[in-house]
Amino acid sequence: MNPIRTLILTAVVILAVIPASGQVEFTFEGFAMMQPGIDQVGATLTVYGIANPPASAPTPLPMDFVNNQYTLAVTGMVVTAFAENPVIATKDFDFQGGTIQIFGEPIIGGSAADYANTGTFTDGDMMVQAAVDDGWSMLLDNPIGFGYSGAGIGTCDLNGGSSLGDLQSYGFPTDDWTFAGSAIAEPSFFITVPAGYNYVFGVKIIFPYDPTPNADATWSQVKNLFR
Amino acid sequence: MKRLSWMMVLLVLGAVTAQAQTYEVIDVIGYLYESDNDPAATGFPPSQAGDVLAGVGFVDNFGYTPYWDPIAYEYTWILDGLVSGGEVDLGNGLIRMFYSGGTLDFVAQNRAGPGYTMPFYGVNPPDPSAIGTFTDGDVYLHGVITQFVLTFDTLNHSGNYQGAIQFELGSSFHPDLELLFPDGMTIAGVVGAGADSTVPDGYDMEADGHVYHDPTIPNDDLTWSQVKNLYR
Repeated sequence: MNPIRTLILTAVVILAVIPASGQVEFTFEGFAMMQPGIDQVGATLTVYGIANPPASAPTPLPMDFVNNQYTLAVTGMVVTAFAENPVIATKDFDFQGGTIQIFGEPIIGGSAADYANTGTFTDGDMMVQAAVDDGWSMLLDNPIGFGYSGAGIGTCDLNGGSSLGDLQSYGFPTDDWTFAGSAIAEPSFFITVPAGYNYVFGVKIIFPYDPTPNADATWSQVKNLFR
Repeated sequence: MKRLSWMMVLLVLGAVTAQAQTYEVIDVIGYLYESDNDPAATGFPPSQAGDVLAGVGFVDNFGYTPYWDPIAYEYTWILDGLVSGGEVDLGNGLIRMFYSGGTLDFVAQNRAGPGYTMPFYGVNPPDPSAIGTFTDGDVYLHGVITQFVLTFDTLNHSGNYQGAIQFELGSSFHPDLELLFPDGMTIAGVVGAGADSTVPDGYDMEADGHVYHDPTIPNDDLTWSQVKNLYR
């Protein structure tokens, strides 16, 4: 086979593989508290969670879920606006500020995460830190009457942690990762939360970019890639 | 050993019935897609009256597990047949859809069993070769959805759904067994493809949430002969 043709075929195959490997996210399930209380401007949201092993999309970093437990702490998100609309049964929140931290700790020899002891969520190796630097919004609604539940969304910039360098070496940009809150819910008939918490709260931190964007190139430019 | 296992399962289930009502929390994650009833409209949103919402995904954790075995089995979920009543404009970019019909099934695949296929999302559902990899196991729980509402913010591509479900045990269980409390519910946050690069082509949004149901199976008084007959 013509070596150039082989190279081009190889390049096409590589490009086909890269998008799958780039579709990554961190996923956590946990609980959140709003202090001094829910549904008020000025309250501060704090979230603690435990990572589930990846099921739908891989994690951005190699993570050993057999031997390690990975935990999440989100602190310092302040409610800057709150509006409740009883007609359409919605609660709308805006937040500013906040820090996200992801920790890893050995299961054997480490302290298992315990919602009654929040220090157990922050006592491992702080692998990734991010700043919620562009606001965050949360919408809860209650259209059926089961209680308020919903989701939140915003962005965050990765700015620290022992694995930040690894993420950068993998080619991930650090800015504007999607920071989503999923299946956020107030306690209700079906849903319970540990003492001191106000919400069930899932967190997803998603690599936001099209992994391999198209780049227009002439045939000569393509050929130059292999010279 | 198979008979012993069944006896052990029955004993465990009997023990469960002695507890107060306890909701099992099943964590679900996957992707949703809505068909286009109107050929002139593509994708989601919009949600036209008659569009059908469906989705597939994985169970990625259990909060309370009286009879699930996530080591030996891979559990997937299949949401299907939710017919949109059309989107209602709530203002400020918010739309809300009330759906009718629909089912939510949980399927168990023996990882070491013959014919096991690793589920994969594929592209452009409903690709039968992709969806079939989520459905080709034993139905553990079958849910009939009685209410389902999706609220979506078209400005930030985020939203959530809530649903009420009537559950019944699937084909993995003896047909005489049934749930004591069939009422359940599901909630999830959704992130649309516009804000979530992990959404495969053809799917409209990622869903991450929980299903709550009570797994209690009531005791059934049987004579010893009737018990023996179960294994003949």
